Amino acid sequence: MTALSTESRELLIAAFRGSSGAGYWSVYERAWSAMEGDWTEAALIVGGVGMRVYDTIPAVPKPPAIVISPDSPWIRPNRLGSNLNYEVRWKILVIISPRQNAAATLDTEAAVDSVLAMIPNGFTCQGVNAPQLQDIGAQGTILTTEINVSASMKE
Amino acid sequence: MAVVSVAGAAFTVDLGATQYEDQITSGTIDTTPTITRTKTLSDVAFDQTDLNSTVSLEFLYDENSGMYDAIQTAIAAAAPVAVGIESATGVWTGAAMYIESANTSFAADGVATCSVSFTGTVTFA
Repeated sequence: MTALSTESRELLIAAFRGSSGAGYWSVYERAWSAMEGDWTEAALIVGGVGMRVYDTIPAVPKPPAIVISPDSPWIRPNRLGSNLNYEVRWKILVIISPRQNAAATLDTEAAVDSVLAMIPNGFTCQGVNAPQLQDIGAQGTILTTEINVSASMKE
Repeated sequence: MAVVSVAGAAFTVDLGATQYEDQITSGTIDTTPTITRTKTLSDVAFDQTDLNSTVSLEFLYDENSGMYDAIQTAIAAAAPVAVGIESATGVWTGAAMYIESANTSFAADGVATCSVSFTGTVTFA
């Protein structure tokens, strides 16, 4: 049995993989540390629609990219019958290089529009937070924009 | 120490013998007796003269193949619906519950939800 949270994450990944609307940025599918064995698939994805897909937060995000990560609270059982009838909430982080201010602003705006257009049926978008600069240590700084989505799942 | 609370998620709900709890977000069972107070020469008498039972359910809209469809079908046929609600050791049964209202709401930033209200005779065992 696949966990409902996994199922919902895969729905998001499938939606982003299947689109050709945002070809200039990457969608992270695997943790960066686990990427070594998966470069072929990643390369295919990049070649096909111009995106890499990661479904967990990479140790070193490489902008432009999006990362799908759990929101908080992540899972909210909200229906009768079973605790497995739940709402699962995800953050879609749009990651842009802040190296050049005007370009970063435009890239963020375009990327957010692209992601909003690709959110699959059944998911609800709760909002898009303001872009924030994040320090990732020796790797420098990234500009992240958080898009909150959720879906109600059941077995 | 034993846990004595009952989780709402542990309840099950069936309408017309079909289980629908995985759509239902919350429910309420109201049992409202009507008590008539009569002042007599010696004391005050209290008599239960009526009993009104209602059940209301909030649920996620499930289009034309689930609970919402079953409710609309019952409304169109002006037919009562059998409602059963169970916790671990308690059962509410409304063999013929009439639908008083069914509402659907949909917001652009949320999921479509419905509510339905039944009235009829409910027994608890």
